[in-house]
Amino acid sequence: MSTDKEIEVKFRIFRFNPKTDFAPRWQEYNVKVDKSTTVLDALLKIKEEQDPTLTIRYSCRQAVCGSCGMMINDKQMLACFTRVLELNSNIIKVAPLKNYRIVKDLVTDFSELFQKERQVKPYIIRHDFEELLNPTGTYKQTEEELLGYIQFADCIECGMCNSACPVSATDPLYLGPMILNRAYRFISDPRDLGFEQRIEAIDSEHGCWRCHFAASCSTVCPKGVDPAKAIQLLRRQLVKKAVLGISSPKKVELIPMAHVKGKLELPKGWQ
Amino acid sequence: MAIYEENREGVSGWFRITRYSVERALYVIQRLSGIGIVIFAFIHLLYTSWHPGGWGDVILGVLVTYHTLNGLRLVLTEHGFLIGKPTRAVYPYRKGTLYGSQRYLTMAILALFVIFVLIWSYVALVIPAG
Ligand code: SF4
Ligand code: SF4
Ligand code: FES
Repeated sequence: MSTDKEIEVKFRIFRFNPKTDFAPRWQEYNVKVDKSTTVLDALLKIKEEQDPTLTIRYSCRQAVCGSCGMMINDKQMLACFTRVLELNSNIIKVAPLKNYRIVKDLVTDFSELFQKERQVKPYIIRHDFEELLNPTGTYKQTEEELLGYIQFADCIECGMCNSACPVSATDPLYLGPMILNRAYRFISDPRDLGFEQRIEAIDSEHGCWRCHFAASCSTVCPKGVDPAKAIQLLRRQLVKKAVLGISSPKKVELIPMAHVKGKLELPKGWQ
Repeated sequence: MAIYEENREGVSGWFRITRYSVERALYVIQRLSGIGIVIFAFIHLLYTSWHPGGWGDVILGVLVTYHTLNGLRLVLTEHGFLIGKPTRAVYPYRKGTLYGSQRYLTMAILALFVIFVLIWSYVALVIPAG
């Protein structure tokens, strides 16, 4: 964009309050934007200057918190990561993410998503409790091992991949690319020993076999995560381990570190 | 209303192809051709000697050829072949499932599809007529 001038752009925004409205409606606002204005800036400007009832969710404004995913001109995008003029369109259509329950206007409810995510135990699982409670060192990882999962660890849980997936469109119980990517991120971590504990969730009717490799999840991901790749690699692991019986046990070396010491206090009621 | 609140796309979601990558379109065609083949197979089971004939044969050939070739692509990619190794995500992102080998495979499959369909149409239309 060569011009620094302000241009007036029309925003068509989805308005709906499920508590009071029978059906959604589209409301139009004209906003002046320049080349640096993001869709989120424009929405905040509308909220500040024209209509304080417009409801949006955001937090970091810099594509790291994953709160502001929405349908911008019918495609899943982060409002804070999308410049208005880059859309090359006189009318900008903004709607809440598809396939999530609407809380109000552009805000969607992720609680079901995070509830489902618990099934894949999205954390590192280890059995050496003594070391975890009284650390004496650090687990060694090679650069190669790190490259095996680092891309998938970049996910900011914006949920846009789940929204774009054609399988989520018809199967509300499908774990979806975000959660399967999460599962693979931990399964491929050299420190994690929890593959067996996750099989039940991922090797199920609503697990990784539902994916049809439409790769729309990877198309919309704003962080370069490539969840479609994670899902196919997850299947490969499952086929290898559960079907062909090939397993490659993980061994991680503990590098003792003099400065890593101290006892972790367990929270009350933890056993 | 609950249906608006739910905001789920349903079957129409399968057909949203324009804003995503070509793989999404291939996926919808795979579904539709699959359904077409199943319908044919049902009729074929009831009346074993029946086949559509002429252009009907061409359409059936198109469905079967597409479903088989794209299916082979999916068998490979869905077992983790040709979709690239995990790497660091560095901006501008190039995702292994949308670039490189997977795309070349897609092009090869589509080219094969055209060739097979031409051969099949010749067999179905020209040979019986001649
Ligand atoms: S690759 Fe799989 S998970 Fe990703 S959008 Fe396609 S069907 Fe959904
Ligand atoms: S994989 Fe990408 S699109 Fe999906 S939740 Fe994570 S950051 Fe968002
Ligand atoms: S506001 Fe945090 S990702 Fe957009």
